[in-house]
Amino acid sequence: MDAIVCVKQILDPEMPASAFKVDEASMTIVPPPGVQQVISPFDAQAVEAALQLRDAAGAGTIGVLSLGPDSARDAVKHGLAMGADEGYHLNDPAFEDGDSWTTALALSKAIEKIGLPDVLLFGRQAADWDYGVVGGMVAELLDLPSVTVLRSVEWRDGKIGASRVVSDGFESVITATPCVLTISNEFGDPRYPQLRQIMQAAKKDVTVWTPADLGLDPHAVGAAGARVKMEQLFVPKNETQVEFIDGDSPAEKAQALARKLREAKIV
Amino acid sequence: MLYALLPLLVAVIVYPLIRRSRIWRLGRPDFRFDNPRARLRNVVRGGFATERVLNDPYSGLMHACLMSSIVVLFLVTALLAIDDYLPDDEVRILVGDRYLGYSLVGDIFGIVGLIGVGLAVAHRWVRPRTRWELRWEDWAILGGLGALLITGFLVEGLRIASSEIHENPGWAIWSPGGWVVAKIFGGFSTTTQLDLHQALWWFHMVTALSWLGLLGYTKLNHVVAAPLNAFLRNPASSGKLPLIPNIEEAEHFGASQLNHFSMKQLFELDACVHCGRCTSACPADIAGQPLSPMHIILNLKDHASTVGARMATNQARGAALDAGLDGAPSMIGGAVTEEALWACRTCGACVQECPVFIEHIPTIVDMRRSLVMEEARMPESVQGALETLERQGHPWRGTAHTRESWMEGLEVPPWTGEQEYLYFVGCTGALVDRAQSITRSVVTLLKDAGVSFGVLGLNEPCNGDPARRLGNEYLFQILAQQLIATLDEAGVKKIVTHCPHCFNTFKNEYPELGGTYEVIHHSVLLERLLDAGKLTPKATAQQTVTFHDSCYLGRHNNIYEAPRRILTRIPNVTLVEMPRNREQGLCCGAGGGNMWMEEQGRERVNEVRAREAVDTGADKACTACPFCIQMFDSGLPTVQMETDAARQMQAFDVAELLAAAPLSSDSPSPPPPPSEPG
Amino acid sequence: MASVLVIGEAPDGQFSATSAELLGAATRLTEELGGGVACALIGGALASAAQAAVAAGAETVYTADHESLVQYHTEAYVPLAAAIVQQERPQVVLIGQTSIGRDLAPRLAARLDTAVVMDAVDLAVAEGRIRATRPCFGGNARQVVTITSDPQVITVRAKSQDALDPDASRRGSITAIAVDPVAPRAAVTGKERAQSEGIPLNTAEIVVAGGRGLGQESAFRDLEELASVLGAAVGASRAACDLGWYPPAQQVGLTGTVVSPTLYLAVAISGASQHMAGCGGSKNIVAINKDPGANIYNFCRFGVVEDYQKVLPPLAAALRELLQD
Repeated sequence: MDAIVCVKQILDPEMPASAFKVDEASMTIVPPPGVQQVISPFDAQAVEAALQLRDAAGAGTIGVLSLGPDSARDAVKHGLAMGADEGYHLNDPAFEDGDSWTTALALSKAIEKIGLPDVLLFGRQAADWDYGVVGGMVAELLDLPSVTVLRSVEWRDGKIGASRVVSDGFESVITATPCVLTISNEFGDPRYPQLRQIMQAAKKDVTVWTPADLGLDPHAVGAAGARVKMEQLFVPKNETQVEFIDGDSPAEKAQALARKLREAKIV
Repeated sequence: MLYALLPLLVAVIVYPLIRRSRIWRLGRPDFRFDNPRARLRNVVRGGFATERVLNDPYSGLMHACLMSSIVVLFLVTALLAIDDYLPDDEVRILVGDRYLGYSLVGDIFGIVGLIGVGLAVAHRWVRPRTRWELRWEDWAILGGLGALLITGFLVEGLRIASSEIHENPGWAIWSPGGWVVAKIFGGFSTTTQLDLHQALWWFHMVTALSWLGLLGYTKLNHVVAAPLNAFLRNPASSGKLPLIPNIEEAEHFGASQLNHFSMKQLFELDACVHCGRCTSACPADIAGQPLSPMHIILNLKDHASTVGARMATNQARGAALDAGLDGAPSMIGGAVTEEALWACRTCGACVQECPVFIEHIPTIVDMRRSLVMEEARMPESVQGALETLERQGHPWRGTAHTRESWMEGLEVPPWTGEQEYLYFVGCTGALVDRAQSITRSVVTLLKDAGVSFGVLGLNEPCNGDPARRLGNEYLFQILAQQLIATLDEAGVKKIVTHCPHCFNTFKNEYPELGGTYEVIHHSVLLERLLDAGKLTPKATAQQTVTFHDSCYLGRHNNIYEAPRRILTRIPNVTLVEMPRNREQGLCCGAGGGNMWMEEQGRERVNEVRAREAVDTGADKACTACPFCIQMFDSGLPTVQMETDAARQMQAFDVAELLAAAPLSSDSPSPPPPPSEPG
Repeated sequence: MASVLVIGEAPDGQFSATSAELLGAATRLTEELGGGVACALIGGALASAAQAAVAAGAETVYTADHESLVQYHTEAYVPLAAAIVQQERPQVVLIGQTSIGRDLAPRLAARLDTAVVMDAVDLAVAEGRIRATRPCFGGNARQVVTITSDPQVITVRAKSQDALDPDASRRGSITAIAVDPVAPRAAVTGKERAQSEGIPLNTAEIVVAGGRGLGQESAFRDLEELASVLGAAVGASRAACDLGWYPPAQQVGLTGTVVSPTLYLAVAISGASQHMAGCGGSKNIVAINKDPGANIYNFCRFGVVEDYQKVLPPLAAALRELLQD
């Protein structure tokens, strides 16, 4: 069972909201001191899913593929430390400031260059811009079946059994391979890399490709190829003022709250 | 004829030790001859003078009886044997009055020995005072010794009955034990007396030699092992964990099998006398949680006897170490459970109590290291804390704060490189709601006292302590090296911190990595400021306060009095102690990374400790550690709800109480503990 | 010719509320864009849903009606949706940010060789193109974006738009699209409905939700009790769901259900931005949390700083009494 997991390096989404700042003029996030770049958590779960599928299948090669600046190499290394075998990094100034479309285009070319594996895995969305588009687009570009927002995956002799999280429950899906799967947070925690693997991963080479290596016109990717244009980025103002309910005892506070809700015709 | 047995005896004692030493030699070489004076002092005080044993009056008395009796009677017997060889009365020692004195000493120490045996029997079978582990050795050693002493008196008594009682009745007083026996056997015929004497003498001698033979096979070996282990004892603070040097090149991380331990760690397993003192002092065991330090050691010892012995044989034959060990129980998971390893608070109570100087903490942490770094297997909450540490540089996942949130409304000097002290706030002091009030109190006091200090603010990272206690030595070293570079570049020479865990790591663990600073705990600095008249506490409302010792301040760093002296200098504060205080203080439950773990077991440690605080009847609990505060904050309400819901005892840091003085009628109300992130 | 095409949903043949909201938004957009509003429906037994779409503002309705389409399959829906788009040639395609929309929109956009913007909460027109506002960074920030390629495919968050009042007198054409059933390579073999006996989260007027601060799974029984008094749905934070305390289908938040009820009662929820992304649109947020500094209080109308265990029983009792009167 061979797989390629596409991962993204992002600013740690668990940073406290109070540390989050944007520069509205340049429409960029101001990285707070001490907050690191990390592999997007859903993507780490996708690596975990790939490792579990391989364990179930018995053998296979797992590649980790990322598009991003130099720092994105760490996301690839994280995947390698978790147990993946090969790392690929699409890194070139021409790739910068792309959108979901250009990312999907570049990734799909890279996947073709590596060789289409049995399974392509993605996180359900990148935990920074929260689009959740790239997996589906890659599936379309490569004409593969796709199953999205999964809480579990299972290797079934060349097919994949998966459980999709939908608004009113779960759907069981069986898909032929090759296919695209996107993994949701319900999947469970990704493994903690073993130190030996971290050290081995540190020594492993990561293949770096530019648009030319993928046979892409530099103007087809990155900012030049992007089809979504950002006009504005801001932190929404929140003007709610909380009214704390007073009372001598918890019970009194509860009764006061009930009255307030009634008076405001909320209940 | 008897002396023909002596070489056999020597062989019986020495052979098992040699066999056993092969197992010790599986370990990493760890020869400790640095600081020989201190080590010899340890041997004398801890080994020969049995300082630790005497800490407990009952077993101290018991041990003193047994030890003195055995030593004296051994010497007495040896003297007799030598005397026997001396040619004539001219040079013989044991004649006349000298013999009488000799006899009295022998008799007294025989009786002392029997008292010791009685105390030991009572300790084991009548009313155990500790979490005792009884093994066949206990029967053999005590039974053998009892038999030895009793037959000694019988032999003496029969001899007296057959001769002395008639010849020198006045000597009775010089052999009180023998005389009583002589009286009992007085009615027997002389022939019977002599026959019995002969038979019992042989029995006595064979028992004596057999008993000595136990030395190589039972815990009686502590006679040798304890002083030796006292010599090998870590001379540094018990809060310092051993460094893994050149971790990048290490062949294994921590210990997943016996040969990963050091020789010292393997040797000391054999010193254990399973007295249970460690387990009786262990906070996890007290709370009914799945950890008994004694059983960690004993189970490892048993593992060494089976698996270790096979490994030693393999090594001697040049075979693969694990040859023939397929299916043998693994060390972690087999001999020692993972739950036990994680339940350890690294509080040092076991290490401090152990009369034979076993150091449990490095052994437990070595196995944690293996779980975390080799196998990446750990409780989910531990993984969460470590991941947050890696990504965010602090262990407080989900905190809503930045490292400057606590400064709101307070002028806090940023570190410029010119100030005297760097106030290292610590992750907890900055990021946990409850602890921010401690930080603010410390800043207020330092400013009031005119201390020259600054803080790193957003640029302050974790110093790595949680990673190290949780077994991720690699992460610790990375964090520590980064911080040392930052501190050195910033020109930091003196560090003050209110967190005993930060304090311990800076003080005891950083120098080995090249970070040498003058480190001072806020309680010590505040006391100095009071002494120097830079701070003057004003009168407060009458209140009694009980002080809880943080393990990393007290036991690991020997600071017990500074925070107490601060409290007693606040007018109208009366200090009351919990029964377990200072060296005997009980951990709050948070140490060893348990701050970030879910507890399993009958009770929570913090509730046990909170109950002890409530039971003092004090108005407030006080501590000098931001972890302890949080543990009290969650333990006190539960305990008070059980007993007396009207009680409103809360916990404060010593700095908060000092900064809050003077108090009006309403005492300072700390913000409630942080809720878990949704 | 329609300038805006809404790809609606009609589960069980019922035209969904979200689809009606999209038609409302589409109608408002056409006021500036010109052109009309069309609606595509893919599913089974769509006759009444098509009528409902007309009543909700669609001038043209395309139905791809076939029993094989009752269950959503990506590979069956994408070609049909693409065919309708190619036939109608709208400037804008609006899709609900639902389980179906999340899956369908990216593939549809790629098939149409255009771009897609997900999870818009506000739509405006500037220079003839849509400016969509959408939350990002786990709800910490918002961005305004435009799509430079055509058509502009946008998914829209449920309850962010107002539907028109349904008007049965509206007239519109209904065109059936030929359906050639395909055997999808990824086939749904079963469905497990989450056991939400009570009111579904996404339509509830009141939601009572619990977080990790509850400390135990059993606390959800207290929340259910309170919910039954209020006629409310019960939700949970991601942390609580990840701990296995409550079914993932009841998760409120960025990666769960986005709710915007009249009252959102958050119990022992600290209010991480990813959670607020799922409930921030509520008309009134009330929190019970013992930490007065909890982030959720920044969004609350009322707050009770207490241990929830001491508040919930008297609160349920007081509300029961008030609501009986």
